[in-house]
Amino acid sequence: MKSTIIYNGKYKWIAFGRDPDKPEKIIDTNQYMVVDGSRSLLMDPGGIEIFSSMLAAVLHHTDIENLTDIFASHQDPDIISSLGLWDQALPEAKLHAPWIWEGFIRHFGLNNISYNSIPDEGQSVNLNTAKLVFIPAHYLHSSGNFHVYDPEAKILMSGDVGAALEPADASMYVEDFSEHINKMKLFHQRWMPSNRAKQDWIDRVRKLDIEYMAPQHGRIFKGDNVKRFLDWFEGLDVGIAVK
Amino acid sequence: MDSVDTQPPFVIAALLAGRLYRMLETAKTMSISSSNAKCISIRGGTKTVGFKPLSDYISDMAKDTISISSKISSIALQFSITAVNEKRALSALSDFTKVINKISDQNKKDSLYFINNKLETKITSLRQQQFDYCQLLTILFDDIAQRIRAAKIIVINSRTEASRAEEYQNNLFSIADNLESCSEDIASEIKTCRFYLVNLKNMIETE
Repeated sequence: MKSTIIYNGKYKWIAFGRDPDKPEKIIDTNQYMVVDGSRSLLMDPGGIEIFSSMLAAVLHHTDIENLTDIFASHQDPDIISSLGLWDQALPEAKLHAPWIWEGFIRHFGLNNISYNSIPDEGQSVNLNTAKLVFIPAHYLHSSGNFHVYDPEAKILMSGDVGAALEPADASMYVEDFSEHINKMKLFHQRWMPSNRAKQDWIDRVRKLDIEYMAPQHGRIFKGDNVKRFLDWFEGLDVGIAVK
Repeated sequence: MDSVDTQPPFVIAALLAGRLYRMLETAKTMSISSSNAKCISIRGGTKTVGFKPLSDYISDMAKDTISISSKISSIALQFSITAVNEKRALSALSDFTKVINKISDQNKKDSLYFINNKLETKITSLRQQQFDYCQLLTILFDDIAQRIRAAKIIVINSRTEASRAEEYQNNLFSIADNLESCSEDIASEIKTCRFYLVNLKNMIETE
C-alpha cells in the first residue's frame, strides 16, 4: 500500500492507496489519516479485503495505541466493511459516522468500538491540535454522507465527490484536469443522484479555503484544480439513470 | 512496545509488517553513512586505508538488511492476510454449524456438512501456511540478527581505524557513531519483532 504525506505541519495528513496486494476485481480506494501525536483519525478505512495492507501501512506512521478515531463518510462496503476487524484491533476507538447509518453499519460487526452518530447538520472533532469539521454532503452519493474539512491544513476529504476510476498504478495527484475529466464523468453522472444536493454542496464548499481536495477514489486535486473541479461539477447533469 | 496480549494473529502480523518499515528506514540511513565513509576512505588515501574494507562490509550489510527487511515485511503482510482469511472461514464455519443445529432434514444437513468439510480443509491449509510463514520469518530474523551482531564488532574496529586517520578522524568518528546508533536501533527493532513472532507462534501452536 502506497502512502503519501499531503500535509506536514503541527500534525500530518497521509493518503493511502494504490494497493498492489488487493484482489484484482475490487475497486481501488484512497484512505486518509490525520496523525496528531497520541490521537489519530483514520478516514474511510476501506473494505475487508484491504484490511491487512491498510493496518500495516497505518503502522508505518503511528502506533496502534494512538489510532483512536475512525470516520466513515457513509455506509458502503468499500468505505467500512473492514469494521469488524478494526473492532478487534482497536477496541477503545471511536467511530464517527452518519446517524442514519448506525443500524446498518453495525452489520459489519461492532462490539467494542463506540459509535458517535454525526447529526445531519455536521459536527466538529478535535484531536490534539487538529480541529476537523464533518461537513454535510448528503445525497453525494449516499443519503447520509459527510466530508472532512481541515481549515488549518486547507484539506477537504471529499469522499466520492471528485472520484475517478483509474488503474492501480495511477499518480496520486491530478496533473492535467482536462484529461482527467474522462475518468470522472460517468462516475459522477451515474453515482450522484441529485442536482439540487450537488449545487447546495458546491455553494457551501466554494466558501471554504481549500488547497487539497482528496477523494476516496482516484487522484487528489491541488490548488487551481480544486476550483476547476467545482466549476466542472456545477455544469454536470447528474442522476442520469432516470430518463 | 505495542501490547499484543489481547490482539488476534492478523493484527500482530500487521504490527510486525509495520515495524519492519522502521528497520528499513534505519538500514537506509546506515547505507548512506557507509557510502560517506567510503568516500572519505578514498579521499584520505593511506591515512584511511584501514577504513575502506570496514565501510565496504557495512555497506553490503545495510543493503542486505534492506533486502531482507523488505522480504520479511512482505511475508508478514501475507501472514496477516492469511490470518484474516482464517478468521473469516472460522466465522463461516461457526455460522453453518449453528444452521445445522437448527434444521432437522438430514438431506439439507448433509449439504451443509459438505460445505463445512470444505471450510475445515481450507482452515487447516490456512493454518499450515501461517505455520510456514512463522518458520520462514524466524530464519530471516536470525539472519538479520547475525549480521547486526557482526556489524557491531565492525563498528568497534572502525573506531580504531578512525583514530589513525589524522585530519579525517572527526568525520570518521561521527560516521562510526551514526553506524553504531543505527545498529542499536536495528537490534532493538529485531528484539521487538521477535517478541511479536514468539506470540504469533504460540497462538498458532495453541489453536
